[in-house]
Amino acid sequence: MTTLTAAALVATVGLAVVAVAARDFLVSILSLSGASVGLAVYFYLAGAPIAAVFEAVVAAGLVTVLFLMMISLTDAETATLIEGRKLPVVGLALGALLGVSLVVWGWLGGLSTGGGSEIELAEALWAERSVDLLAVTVLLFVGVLGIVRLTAERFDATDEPITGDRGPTDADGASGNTEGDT
Amino acid sequence: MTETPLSMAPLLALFAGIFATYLVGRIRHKRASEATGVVAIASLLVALGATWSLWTAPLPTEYAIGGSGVGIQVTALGIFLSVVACLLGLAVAVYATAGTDDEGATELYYPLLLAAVAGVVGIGFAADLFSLYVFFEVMAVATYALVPFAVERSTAVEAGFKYVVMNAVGSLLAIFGISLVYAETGGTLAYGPVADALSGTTGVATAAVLFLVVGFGVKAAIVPLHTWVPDAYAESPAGASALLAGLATPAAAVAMIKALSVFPGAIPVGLVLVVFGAITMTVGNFLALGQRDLKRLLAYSSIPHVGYVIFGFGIGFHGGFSVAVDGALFHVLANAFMKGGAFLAVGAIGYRLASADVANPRHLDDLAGIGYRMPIAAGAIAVAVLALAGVPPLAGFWGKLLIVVGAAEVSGWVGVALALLVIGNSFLSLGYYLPVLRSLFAAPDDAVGSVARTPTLLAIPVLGLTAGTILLGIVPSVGFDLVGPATDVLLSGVMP
Repeated sequence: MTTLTAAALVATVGLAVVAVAARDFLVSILSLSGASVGLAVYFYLAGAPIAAVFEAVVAAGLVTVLFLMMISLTDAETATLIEGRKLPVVGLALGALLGVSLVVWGWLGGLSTGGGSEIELAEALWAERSVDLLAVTVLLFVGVLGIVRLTAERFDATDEPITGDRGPTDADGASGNTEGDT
Repeated sequence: MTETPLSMAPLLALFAGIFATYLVGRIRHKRASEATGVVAIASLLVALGATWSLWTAPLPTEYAIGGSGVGIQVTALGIFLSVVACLLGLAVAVYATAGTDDEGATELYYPLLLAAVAGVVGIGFAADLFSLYVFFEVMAVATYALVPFAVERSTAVEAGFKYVVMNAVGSLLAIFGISLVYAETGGTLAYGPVADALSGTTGVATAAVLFLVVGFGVKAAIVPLHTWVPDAYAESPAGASALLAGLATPAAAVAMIKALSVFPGAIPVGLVLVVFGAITMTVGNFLALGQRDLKRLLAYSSIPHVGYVIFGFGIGFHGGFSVAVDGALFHVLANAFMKGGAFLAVGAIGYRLASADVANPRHLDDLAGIGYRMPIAAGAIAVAVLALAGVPPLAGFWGKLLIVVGAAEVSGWVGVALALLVIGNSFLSLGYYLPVLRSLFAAPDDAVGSVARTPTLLAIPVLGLTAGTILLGIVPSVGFDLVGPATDVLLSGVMP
């Protein structure tokens, strides 16, 4: 195991622990994203570029954006911070997603021997992992739908917090187009 | 192994459904919502039909787009998961056509629902560990958005946040475990070769087992990784709760078992699962005791049922007792009908009581006598909770019975103790299920006594799932025809 590989593994575990232990949401999210990047680096070094691209794009990118959107819906101090700069934050998050994927993609090409390695990787992705590639496409689409939903509207801040036994809720009481009784 | 494009058909039908429902849902027309539901139902029916065609063909089959590389491999286990996922998905899609769940965002709700189903089908069809993880993520990301779908409610957002945080960390640990396998085997992830490559190792492989158990275990809600369950199930729309409890969580347990099935006998995978299963069923039952909010009660009671499943797999792996694995898989099938029916019925009751003068439409005290006004929904809950408690001849009885028989096959007093543990837990569950029955059919007060009957569109899927619960109990051979070959696949190391 090389020093770089060991460093990637240590960074992954360390940042994952920070993600769980941190009290600040943003620190937690960014640590988790960093852990995913560490894991992506490890995947690449272990000779699994396809897994590295997936980990960087989906885990470090998409899930981070989902987290940011989710927090923007809460009443936490961080949410106020995000809410006030919603568009820049969404843009930054999406940019980070694109950036991470481009950096990893370019890095793979840079570290590989010979020109045209990006094309080789793309060919390898399609030839070797066609079904996974299809699934990841669906995954990204579903993730975007999730983000669209989470950015739909802010909740009513007067709602009661979650407790074991609480008052009335409309979790199952939304309006509908039910016709007829049975 | 036969190579046929038909292997891709169930997944392609669902993938096409995801995009089609979004597009149809975006059309500005007064009937667009209904049309979206019809497209989703059609997609699920096509997937179910394709699964049936595969079931009648010689298994296993495989297919890779372009003819080479890692594609999908359809085994009896994949067929089993596909049938369970499509049937429950169908019930939830029909339920959603009533429009009580989608919060006006039809174009988002149906694609997410279909994606969750597709993820589970993909888990069954995955040809190697990385594909398994990719499809697991498809299922997970879809449910990340389904849990807090009612974004205007702070409680739903809080539940969603807890769910996403815990499950994202779980996913990270799972892929870490897979990466350890990848490193140890020198770049192999296909089931058969991995099993061969790991046969002489214990150190790294043991670490990988622990990462996989914890990683997939978060989504499977094994104790102590279960803390997201009560909030997520209780705050999701009824259909999403049914999908989570009846499909996603048990499917995560099956994904875990599918990943663990490649590890050599030198690693005590079975023992680890037995311990986690025993803790999960016992702690889960104690947590459910005393709950008075019906939806939270059902949510808590999902934890012990995952425990039974994990416990059954553990017994099967530990001693090679196929009867216990049969029981675990049968319980996954039965759980889809029992939990699915129960959550949808609770949703139907909540829908009616939302407009009634009831203090808390989910509290057992406030639900007193609802069985006389909404006999279909309350009757479905009654059948479901009796089945969940393992009362014969309902669906929940057979899985538990086989798990008990499997446990008793372990030699000596340990086997007897393990069997008694399952039986004891079943009796313990009556402590929280019986008060539900008592409350549903108590004397109604004025508010409950004036509510309308179960809406027809909501009653249809509830009746379907309840009929399945009864049918699987009376004619269990229907389920065992699916479960038996799937057990053989799991115990033989997933892939030939």
